Amino acid sequence: MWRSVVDSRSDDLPSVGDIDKLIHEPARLLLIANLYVVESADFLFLMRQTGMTFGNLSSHMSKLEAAGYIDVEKEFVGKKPNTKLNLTENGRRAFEVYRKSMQQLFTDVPSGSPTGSSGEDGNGFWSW
Amino acid sequence: MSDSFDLDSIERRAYLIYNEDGLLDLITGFMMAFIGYYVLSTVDIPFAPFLAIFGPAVWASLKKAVTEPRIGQVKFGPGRRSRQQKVIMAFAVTVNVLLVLSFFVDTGPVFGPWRTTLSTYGVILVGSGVVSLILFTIGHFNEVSRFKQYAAISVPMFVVGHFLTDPGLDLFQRLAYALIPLGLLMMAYGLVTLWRFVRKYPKLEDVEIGG
Repeated sequence: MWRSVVDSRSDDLPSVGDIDKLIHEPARLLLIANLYVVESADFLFLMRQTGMTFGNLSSHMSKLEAAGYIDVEKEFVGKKPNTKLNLTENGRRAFEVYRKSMQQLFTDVPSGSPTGSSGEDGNGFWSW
Repeated sequence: MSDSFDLDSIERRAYLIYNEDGLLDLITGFMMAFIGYYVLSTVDIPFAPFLAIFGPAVWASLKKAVTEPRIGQVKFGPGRRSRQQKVIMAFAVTVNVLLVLSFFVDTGPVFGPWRTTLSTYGVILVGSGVVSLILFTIGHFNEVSRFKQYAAISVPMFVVGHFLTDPGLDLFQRLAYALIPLGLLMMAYGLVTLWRFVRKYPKLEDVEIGG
């Protein structure tokens, strides 16, 4: 249904199928968004910022690392292990493409619902 | 899990969490109270250069010892770093300008007419014009609203200091009487903020944060 709505409006618009599903998953999106706004951050910082558990964050981190979106550097700070993460150029570019696609997708969808309420209009949630 | 995807808010939240520890309040308050105490004491050791060097060094060490084990490490982008550098530069320039000015006001004939005004209203003029402005600048560039509140509180404190202190004392001694309570107030609030921070972000075991 989404594709038909989009296709009927313009050929230039991205189709929902083109959206990067690896980034689109909410937890990974939050993780990438947090890494996008800084140069690098460690595991603990990302746990605090995203509210994810160790296992959850670790699992998403592995998927993003496997896709080449993030660099994971393990080192010792004193005697304690420290895992530092940063977005790769590839990951940064993929996130920017994702942002543009989502913005365009929502910009060109009619904002009013059949009941007349506009709901989430995108200015808050998608204010990139 | 947080549900906000506003990038500016995410960056700001990442930055603000670093100033939730109250260490900036503690160190700045300590430096102000110490300067005030030093001016009033008979100790004749030039502490200013030591404070300028050791203040930021102690602050950085406390960040490593208290803040980073609780909220982790982050390296901000160039935009945020340049703002921090501007604050440090503004602080260094202000301190140097003050040192040069205080020397000339004390010895140079050029500032003769100013000397009378300064000796009469110096506590209010220098206090509000310099100390309050520094606090406001720190608060503005670091986005720590507490410092803007300290700046606002400091103005009436300097006015009160002007009326309560002996006009026979020199300007720096009169300023010191306002600086000490202001510094102690900042230290007290810094301690409360630090206590809240430690409770809100307990240290996690190594196994919890992963190696």
